[in-house]
Formats: sequence, C-alpha cells, structure tokens
Amino acid sequence: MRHAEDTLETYLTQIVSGAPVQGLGSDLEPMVRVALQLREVASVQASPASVERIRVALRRVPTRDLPVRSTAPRLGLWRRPVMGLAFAVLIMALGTTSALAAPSALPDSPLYPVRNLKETVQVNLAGSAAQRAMLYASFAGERATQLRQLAGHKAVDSGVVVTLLRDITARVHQANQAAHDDGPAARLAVRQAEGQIGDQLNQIQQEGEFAGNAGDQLASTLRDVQSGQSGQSGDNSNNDTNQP
Amino acid sequence: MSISLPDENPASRYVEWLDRARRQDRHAFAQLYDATYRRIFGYLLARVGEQAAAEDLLQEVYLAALLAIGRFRGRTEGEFIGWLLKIAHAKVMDRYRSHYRHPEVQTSDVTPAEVKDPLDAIDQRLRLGEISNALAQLTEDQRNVVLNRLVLGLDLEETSKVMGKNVGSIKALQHRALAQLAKILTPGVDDHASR
Repeated sequence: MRHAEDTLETYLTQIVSGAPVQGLGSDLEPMVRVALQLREVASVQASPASVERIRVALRRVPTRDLPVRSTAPRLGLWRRPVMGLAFAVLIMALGTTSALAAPSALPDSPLYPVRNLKETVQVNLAGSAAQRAMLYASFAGERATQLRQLAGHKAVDSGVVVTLLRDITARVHQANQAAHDDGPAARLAVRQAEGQIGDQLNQIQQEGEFAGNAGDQLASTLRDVQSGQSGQSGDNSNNDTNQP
Repeated sequence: MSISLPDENPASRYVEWLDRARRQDRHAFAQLYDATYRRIFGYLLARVGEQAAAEDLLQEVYLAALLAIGRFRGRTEGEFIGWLLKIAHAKVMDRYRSHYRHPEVQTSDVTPAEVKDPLDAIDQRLRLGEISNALAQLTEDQRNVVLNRLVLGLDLEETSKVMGKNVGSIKALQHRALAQLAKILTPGVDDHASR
C-alpha cells in the first residue's frame, strides 16, 4: 500500500510539472487518468470577456463602500486583557457609585430606577414574608421622610411629589400583603410603620405645602395609609383577635 | 502560515500591492486580481463544473475580497490565495444552498474560451459536470487534497503545510481520494484504495 502511494505520488509530480507520465502501472492507471482530467480543469481559462467584465466591476465599486484599514495602532495581544480589566474596573466603579447614590435618589433622578431595582433585589433576597413586609414598610417610610424634607422647599416639581406618594401607596400595600402572608406579629409591625408614615404625611398636609395634583395625591395616599393602619388594606385584620 | 506557490511573484511585490490595496488603491487590487484569478477560477470550475457559473462566482469572490481587503492581514501570495480560496469556498457553499432551495434548469450556452468546436465544448461541459459531481462525493479533506495538488498545482510539502497534515497523511489521502474518484468516474473500476 505504501509502495502504491509513493508510486502515485511520482505520477502526480510528473502530471503537475507537465511532464509526460511514464511507466504507468495497470492498478494505478484509472487514478492517474482521473488526475490528468483534474489537471485539465486547471488549464481551462475564464473567457477574456468575463475577466474584463470583472475588472470593470471592481473599478465600479464606489469608494465609499470600501473599508479603509484603520491607521490607529492596533492593541497588542498583551494589552487586550489589560484593557478588558480596566474596562471591568470602570464598570464596577460606576455600578458601585450608582448603587451608593441610588438610596436617596428622587424620581427626577436617573438613579431612581436603580433605587427601585435595588429595593426589588432586597425584597427578593428576603428570607420570609415578615422580612419582606418590613422592607416594603421601610422603603415607604424613607420616601415619606424625603417628602417631608422636600415640603420645606418652595420650588418642588409636583411630578416628583406625585411619584413619591404613589410609590408610598404601592409599598404600603405590598407591606400589608406580605404581612398578611406571615402572621399577626408582622401585621402589627407594619401597622406601626404605617402609623409613622401617616403622621409624617398628616403634618405635610396640615402645613399645606402641596397644592393641585400633588395635594390631591397626598390626600389619597394618606387615606390609603390610614386605611391600612386601621386594617382595611391588604389584610383581614378585623378578624384578627390578637391585634392590640 | 506562509507558503510559496508555484510561479510565485516576488514577495516584495505582494507586500506592496496588498498594502496599497488596503488603502483603497484600485490599481493595486487590479494587479492582485490579474496575478491570482486563474487559480481561483480553476478551483471554482472544479467545484461547480460550469464555466459560466464559475465566472459568476469568480466575480463574487473578488468583489467580496475588495470589500474585505482592509481586514486581511496577510503579506504573501500564499496567504492571499489561501484567503481568496476561503471566500471562494463560502461562495460555492452559498450557491449549493441557493440551488437546493431554488432549483433551476441550467440554460447557459456559454462556450469555454479554449474550445472552438461546439461538440468539444459540449463534451467538455459534460466532463466538467461529472468531475464536479464526483468531487462533491468526496470528504472535505479528500476534495481539498486533489484540488490543492492538481488544480492549484501545490507540491506535496506545500499541500502538507496548507492542510496541516504530515506528508505521509497527504500521500494516503490523495491515494484514497483518487481511488474514489476513479471508482465514480470510470465504470468498472473497483476501489483501489482497498487493495
């Protein structure tokens, strides 16, 4: 077999070089004939018309379609991981900064969605319904405190106030639902938190700082919080015999 | 990987042509085309078995190469031809896929340039079709080895470098490939590779 391969190679070398094939063995003859046919394919030329047509087509490609090789220095292979690491550090730094700044972000801040996302993650990581309830209540309480601070400023955007109030309503509702899933102790803790939130909102209302939409939303949120506190929002605490 | 090809142009000319072509120099790209189209056409003709189709694909290959030359990093004729063959292979596969989805009747009446007698032209067209059909029945390695050796004219060592196999493997592969082709193309011939 090895001998046949070597002999065939001798014939192929003769064929490729254009030399006449000599001493053809009968076993290899069909293979050599096929090799000669294939070599003939290489001798078939494209028609001069098509060769010229392609040349013209290549000239007609608009220059704007041709990409130019960048003259900027290419990054060496060793630099790529370094640049990747630097990029990762930059992203982490930006992420950390955003996460640190997010807890106090107001609805008109680009970091407010980060704040909401962070809160959602915290809630999802909570181990029990009671923990979830307290987290929701504390998020609502943080917003109520911010609202009170905002009320002291004259030029507060009513959109910011309305969004904060709606988010307070939503979180109080979620806190009540989570507390209802857990039990009387959680319901009691949420009610206490609602009491503090209600007090803050009451004070803002009495000071009369917000008017128009903001004022209407304040009244609505206050009603929701107080109804939750009296056991009408998200749970059935009227049936709870253990309530104080 | 850098290989030298038969009748290779001086390496310095390729370096210069390629550098200029990357900077949108059409004249340099035309010189690259003139220096290489015969080999690429031979490869395409062997793969598709039709003169007109091979000429159409040849245009597609060089247009694709012109648009992508800015990304090509090679500096030698061997590297440039290897790159063109990759594009050519992709174009051939596109054509096969397109024909599979939209089969059409071949109506080309283009006569191969070197064949003057119409009967010879028909005979050659039939023979080319048989050869390309037979090549399509080989494994990819078998097909590449016979195309590299007999159509591109590479020698044993060059084929070994291009295909990343040792010389002994190339010898065995080309023996099996030609035995298989002989079996397909020549009625009454047994598989010589099994002997």
